[in-house]
Amino acid sequence: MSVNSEIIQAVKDEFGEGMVYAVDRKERRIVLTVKRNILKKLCKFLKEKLEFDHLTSIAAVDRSGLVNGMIESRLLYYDDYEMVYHTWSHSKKTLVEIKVAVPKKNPSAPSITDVWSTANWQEREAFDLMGVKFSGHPDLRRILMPEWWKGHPLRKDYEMSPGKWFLSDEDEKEEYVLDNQKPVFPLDQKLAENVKTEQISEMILRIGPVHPGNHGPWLINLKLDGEVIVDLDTQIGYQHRGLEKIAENRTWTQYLPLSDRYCWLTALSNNLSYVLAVEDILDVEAPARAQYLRTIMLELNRLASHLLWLAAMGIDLGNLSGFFYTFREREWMLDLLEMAAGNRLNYNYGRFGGVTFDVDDKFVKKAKTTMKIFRARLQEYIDLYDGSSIFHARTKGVGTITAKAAKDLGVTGPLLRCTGVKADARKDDPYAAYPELDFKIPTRKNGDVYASYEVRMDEMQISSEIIDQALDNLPKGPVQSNLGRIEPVGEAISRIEEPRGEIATYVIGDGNDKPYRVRVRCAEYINVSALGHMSRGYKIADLIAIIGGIDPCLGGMDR
Amino acid sequence: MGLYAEDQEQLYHGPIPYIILLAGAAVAVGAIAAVGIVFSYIGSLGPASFWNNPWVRGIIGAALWAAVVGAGGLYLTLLERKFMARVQVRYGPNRWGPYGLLQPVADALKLMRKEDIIPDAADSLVMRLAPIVAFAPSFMLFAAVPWTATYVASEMDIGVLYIVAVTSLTPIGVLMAGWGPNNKYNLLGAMRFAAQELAYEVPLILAMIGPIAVAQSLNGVAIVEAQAGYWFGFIPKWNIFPQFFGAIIFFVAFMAETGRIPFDIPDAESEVVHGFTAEYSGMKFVMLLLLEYVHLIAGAALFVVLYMGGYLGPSPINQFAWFTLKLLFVILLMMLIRAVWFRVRIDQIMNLGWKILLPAALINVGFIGVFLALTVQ
Amino acid sequence: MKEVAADLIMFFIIALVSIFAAVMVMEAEDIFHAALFLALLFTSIAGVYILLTAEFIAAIQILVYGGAVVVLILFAIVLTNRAGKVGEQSLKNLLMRTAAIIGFVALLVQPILKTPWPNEMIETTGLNTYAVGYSLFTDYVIPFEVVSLALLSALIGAVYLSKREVGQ
Repeated sequence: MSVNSEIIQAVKDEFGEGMVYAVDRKERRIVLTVKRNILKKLCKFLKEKLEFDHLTSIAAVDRSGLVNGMIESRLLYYDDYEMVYHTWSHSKKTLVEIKVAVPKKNPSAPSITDVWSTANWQEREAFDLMGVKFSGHPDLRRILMPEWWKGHPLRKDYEMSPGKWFLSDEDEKEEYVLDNQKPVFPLDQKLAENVKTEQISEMILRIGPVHPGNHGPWLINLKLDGEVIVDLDTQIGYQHRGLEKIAENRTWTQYLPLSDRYCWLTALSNNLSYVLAVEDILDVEAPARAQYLRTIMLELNRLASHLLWLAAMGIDLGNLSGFFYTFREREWMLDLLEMAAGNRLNYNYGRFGGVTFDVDDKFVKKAKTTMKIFRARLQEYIDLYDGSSIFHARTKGVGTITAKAAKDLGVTGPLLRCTGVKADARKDDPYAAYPELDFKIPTRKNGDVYASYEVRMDEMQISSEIIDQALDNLPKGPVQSNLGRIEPVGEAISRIEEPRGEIATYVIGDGNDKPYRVRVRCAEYINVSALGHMSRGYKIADLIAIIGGIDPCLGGMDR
Repeated sequence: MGLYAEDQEQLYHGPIPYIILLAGAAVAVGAIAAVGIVFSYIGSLGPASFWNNPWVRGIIGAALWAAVVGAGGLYLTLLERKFMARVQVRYGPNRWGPYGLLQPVADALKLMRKEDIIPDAADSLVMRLAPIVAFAPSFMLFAAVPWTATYVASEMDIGVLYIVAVTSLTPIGVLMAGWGPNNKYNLLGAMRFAAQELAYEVPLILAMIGPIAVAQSLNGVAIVEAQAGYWFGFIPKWNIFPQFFGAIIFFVAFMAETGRIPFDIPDAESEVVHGFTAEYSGMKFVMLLLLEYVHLIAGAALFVVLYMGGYLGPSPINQFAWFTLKLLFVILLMMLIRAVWFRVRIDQIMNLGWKILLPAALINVGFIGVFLALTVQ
Repeated sequence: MKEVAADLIMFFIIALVSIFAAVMVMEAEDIFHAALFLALLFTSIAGVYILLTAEFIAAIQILVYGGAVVVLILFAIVLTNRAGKVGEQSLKNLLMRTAAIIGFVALLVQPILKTPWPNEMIETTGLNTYAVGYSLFTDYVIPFEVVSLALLSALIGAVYLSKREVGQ
C-alpha cells in the first residue's frame, strides 16, 4: 500500500537507518523496532508530522520465555522486556507498531505522557504489572494492584504458589492496610481550562467504592470547593481478576470463555477480538455465513448494551421508569441471543474459524419481528428522554470535551464521535461482514453528555437496520472451519468496535498450546481515565451525569 | 405478561378489567360515603350530647386523626409502590396479603425491630429529637383542613396562616437531623433540603393569596364556601379555573417543599446516599420516611381546599366522599409525576425557586388584584 | 370561672417553659442546643400571644421568629462548624450573673407595682386579623412601605456580598 510506504519513507528520511522496518503480511500495520533513546522523538514526529493522534495501547512483554524467538532485528535480545506501542492515525487509517527493548537488569524506558496524555494510565499499568519504570512520568504508582503489593505479576518469573498470595513474613503483614490509597490529585494545568474558582474552602469527598451512583466498585476522590469539583482522583482495581495472566496458563480454546468476561455487557465483542487476533496469526478466514452471524450477534450485543446504558442513565438522573421500559426491550435482545448462542450474558459464541452454533428460520423470523417493534419503541424512548426539559437542563453543556482533547486522551467510541471525529473501527478497519453492509456512522459536534446520548440513540437505530440487512442477505454454508488443535506462531492485533469504544487485543503465540501473551486494551479503561478532565469545573450532581455519559463497565476497566 | 415481541397480538383486549375497576371504585366511594354519613350523624346530635362535648370531640378527634393520618401515610407508601409499578409495566408488591395490602404492616414491623444505632460521636439528644421535630409540623397541619363543612379539627380564623406558620418549622427539624449524627453526608443533605424548603416557602405563601383574596378570609371553611356555585350552570366556581397560574405555582412549590421528584436531590439515592436520613435506623428512620408521605397528603389536602373547591360537589355523594376523591386525584397526579420525570440539580432548583417562581408569584398577586377589582365591585 | 382557671393554668405552664428555655439558652453547653432552646422560647411566646387572643401575631411570631430567624442562626452554626462546648463557667461568674439579674428585677419591681394594669380582659370582636390588615394599609401605610424598602435593601446587600466570582 502506498500509504504504508509513504510513512516508512518519511520516517526513514527523518531518522535514518537507526531502526528496523517491517510491514505485516496483510499490510495492516507497520512495525518499527527502535532503541530507547529515540523513542520519544519518534513518537513526537509521528504525532505532529504524520498525524498519528491516537495511541491505541501500550503492551509490556516479557520475552524471556519465548521459545521461537521471533527476533526481527539485532536490536532485540532474549531476556529483555519489550514495550510495544500501537498508534493509530484517524486520517491515514494505518496502525504503527513500535517495539522497544528494555533490559531486564534495569528496566526503564522514557515516558511518552507529554506526547499522548492517554499514556499516563497505560504506563502505570505497565509499571504495576511488569515493573518497567518510566522516567518523566508525572505520577508513577500502582493502579490495578493494591499499593502494598510486592512483585510484578506479569513477569514470567513471578512466583505463583497457591496459598501464598501476598505477604509471607509476620512483620510485613502489618503493612496490609484496609484504607485506600491517599488521593493524588493531578490537576494538569494545560488541560484544566474551565476551573476559575478561588478555592476558598476545599473539601475532599469520597464517592465509593460502594455507592448507588457508581456502576461497580471504584473509588473517586473529589476535591470540592462548595459544589464545584476542583479536582478528581480515581482509584480502580477493585475488580482486577488478572485475566491477562490467566491467559498464559490456559490453552487457546480454554481461554475462549474467559475472554467473554472482561466486560460482561459486551461479551461478544471481547470474545471476537481475541478470536480475530488468533485468526490473523493463523491466516484463517471464517466462512461467509459465520461472518454474517458474527455481525448479527455483535449488533444485538450492541443494542443490549446501549439499552442498559439508557436504563442506567435514566435511573441515575432520577427517572425511575426509564429503567423498566428499556429493560423490557433488553429482554427481547437477550432472548434472541439465547436462541442463537445458548446463554444470555456470556455467550462464548466465537470459535477460531467460525461460530459455535447455527441459527434456523425461526430465529430469523423472530429477529425481524423484534426489530420492527423495537424501532417503534425506540421512538417512544426518544420522546420520553428528549421531551423532558429537565433532561436537557441536566445534560446539555455538561462534561464538554473537545475533539483535540478527546483524541489526546485516547477516548474512543460514542464519546469520541460525539465531539465530531468520525472514527469507527467498523468502517476504518473492517472485520466480519461489515465491508458488505451499508450503514452510516453518526457524529455530533458538541461533545457534552447530551451529544453522546444522541449518538448512542442513533447507533441503536442504525444497529437495528444493520441486523435487518444482514438477516436479508444471510448466505448459506457452514459456520465452522474445523481447525482441530492449533499452535499459532506469530503476533497480531485486532481492533473491534465494542459498544463502549475500541477494544484492541494483541496476541503473541509461541508454537505452544497456550498463548504467550494476551494484552487487552479495553475501551472503558481509557474512557474513565478521561473522567478527571471532563468533570473539572462542574458540580457533584453533574458527575453522575458525566459518568452516565461515559458508560463504564467495571469489568472492562479492571479486567 | 406477554413480553415477547410476537406475543403482542395475543394479549387480552376486552372490557372486563375496566368493569372490575369501576366496580371497585364504586365500592370504595360507597365505603367513604358511609363514613361521612356516620360523621354527619354525630354532628346532628346537637351540642349537648356527650359525643359533641368539646373535650371528648377533641380527644377522639385527635386520636382519630393520628390513626388516620398515620395509617394513611403508611398505606400511601403501598399506593405509591403499586401505582408506580403499574406505570412501569410490572406488578407492585403482591406477596403480603391479597394485592399486597399487608405490605406496609410488614415493612413497619421490620423497621421497628431494627437495631437503633446511634453513632458514638453523634449528639444523641439532638438525633433522638430530630425526627419528632421534623415530623410534628406535618401532623399539625391537618388541624385546619376542613373535611366537611362542620368537620374541622379546629376552625380557626387564621386557618391558612396557621398552616403556613407550622410548615415553616420543618427546616428546624431537618437541620437537627443533619447535625445530630455528625456526618458529612447528613449535613450536606440537610443543608440542601433546608435551603430548598426556605426558597420555596415564599412562592407558596404568595400563591395562597389568591384564594384568600377571593374568600376575604383566612378561614379554611370560608375559602371553600367561596367556591360554591357554578358559572354558566355547569363549570364549578373552583379557584383553579380563573387562577390557573396560581394553582400551578402552588403545586410546584408544594412539591418542592415536600422533597419529591423532580425536586428530589436531598433525598436522592444515587447522589448523596439518602441525604439527611443516612445515619438513621429503626423507628427514627421510619418517621423520617413517613414525613414525606404525610407531607404529601397535607399538600394535596391544601391544594384541594384552596383551589379545587374542597368538599363541594353535587349532592348524591356527600361532602366527605367528594373531598376524598379530589384528594386521591391530586395524590395520584403527584405520584405520576414522580414516576416519569427526571431529577433537577440543586442549583437549578434554587434558580427555579428564586428567579422564576418568585417573580411569577408576585405577578400572579398583581393579576389577582386586578381581577378582584374588576369583578367584586 | 372554669375558663379563667384554665387560662391561668395554661399561662403558668407557658411562662415556666419560656423561662426555662431562656435560661437554657444561656446555660446550654453546646451552641446548637442553645439555638434550639431559642426556638422553644419563641414558640412559647407565641403561646402567650394566643392566650391574649392575638392569633395573627402568634402565627406571625412562629413564622418569622421560629421559621426564619432560628433557621438562619442554625445555618450560621452549621456552616461555620462551631461545634462543642462554649466554655467553663466559674462560680464567680455565676454569682455575678445572679446578682445582676436580681438587681435588674429589683429595679423593675417598683414601676410594675405602680402601673395601673387593666383588671378585665378587653373583649375583642374576633376580627383582629382584619383589624391589623386594615390599619397597616390605611393608618400605618408609610412606615410599612419604608420598612419593606429597608428589608429589600438588606436583601440586595446580602446577595451582593455573598456573590463570588465564578468563571463559568
